[in-house]
Amino acid sequence: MSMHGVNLVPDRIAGRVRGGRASRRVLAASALLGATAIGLAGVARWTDARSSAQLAAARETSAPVIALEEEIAGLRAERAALERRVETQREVGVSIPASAVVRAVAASLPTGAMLERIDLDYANVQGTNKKIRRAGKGEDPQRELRGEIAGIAANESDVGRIIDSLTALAPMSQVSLESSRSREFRGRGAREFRIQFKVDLEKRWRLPEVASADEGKVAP
Amino acid sequence: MMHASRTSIALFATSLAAVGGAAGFLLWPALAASDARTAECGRLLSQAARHDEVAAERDRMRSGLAEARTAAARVLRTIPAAAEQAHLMRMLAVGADDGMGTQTIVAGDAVPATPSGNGALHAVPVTIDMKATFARVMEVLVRAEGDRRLVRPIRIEIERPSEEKGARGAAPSDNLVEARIELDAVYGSAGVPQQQGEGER
Repeated sequence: MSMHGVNLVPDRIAGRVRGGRASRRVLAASALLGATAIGLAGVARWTDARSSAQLAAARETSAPVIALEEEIAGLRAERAALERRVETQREVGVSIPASAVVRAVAASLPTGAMLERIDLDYANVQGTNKKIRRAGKGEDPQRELRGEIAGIAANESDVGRIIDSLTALAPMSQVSLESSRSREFRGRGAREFRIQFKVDLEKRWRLPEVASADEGKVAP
Repeated sequence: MMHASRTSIALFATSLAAVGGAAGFLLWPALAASDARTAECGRLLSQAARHDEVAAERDRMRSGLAEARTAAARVLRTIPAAAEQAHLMRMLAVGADDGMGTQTIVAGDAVPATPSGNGALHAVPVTIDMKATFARVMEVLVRAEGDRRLVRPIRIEIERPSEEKGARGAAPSDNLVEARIELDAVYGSAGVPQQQGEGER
């Protein structure tokens, strides 16, 4: 007598059972993946919330410093604006006032000397409405003060003293004696002289003070 | 041969897409943002640690600016938007007295403030012809140059009439000199902020 088992389940039913088992496995894997996706979304949200909270805390901690830095930026901007205004004045105004030059020239005269004429010409300072063709388009020519004084001194050495005094003045350059001649003045012999000098107005001389400086206040 | 159902396979594919989407669209941007925020936090916290240093720099800047303002107030002139000739005339006019013979003030047509004519600044040329004592001439010159408004000298001629001329001329009063003062009063706007209290005083 044979002891072999006999499978009475038809192949169709057996295949369906195997298919159901496979589907369950795939469904289990899908469920696992779904859970993973939910977990990833949770982690992303948690990471985002945590980093946002850390940033907010750091911002709060550094808020006073940020305020200070903003104030510093404002102070820098104000300083820059002030410097721009001073630069504009340097470009448009002149740093050597005529009154100071006249005073300095008068102070350089030795006793007995007398000024008869003083001419100060601030060259290349002013613009013109006429069209002028220049080589360097858009560039201003060098500004300079051309001065000439004429007067009477007691003798030649006094004329030399005047030249030395003018040469010693810081802004003065190219001080030159144009002419010196003998002349009778109030019944006595004297020397009539003519001296020319120049001042470079492009140099960064100290700007002259406003007479009513105490009244003026610079807007912050 | 095992065959999973089509529904289960579709569900598996959907789950796989959900994992990819969560990683690509949620987790990755969150991690990138977190990295950036961590770096920003580090920067902010290091800034916070420099509080005293930054405060000291602010104090230095404040005192530097105060000094600069004081220095600028001493030398900085105003540049009015308009020519404001009335103020100019009032400033330059001198009353008649013993030291003052005659004074003529003539204002010319406005010219560009610089030879290149760049910028929006202009200048009104003003010529003052005077017969006055040297002191009065200097007074006018000092007043013009010391004004709060930007006024610049262009040409100055001061001449003492010669003794020969004086002999022909009538008065021995003549310790008066003849002076011609040409000045420019600058005006216009070149993006230069105006100062407080600007204008006629």
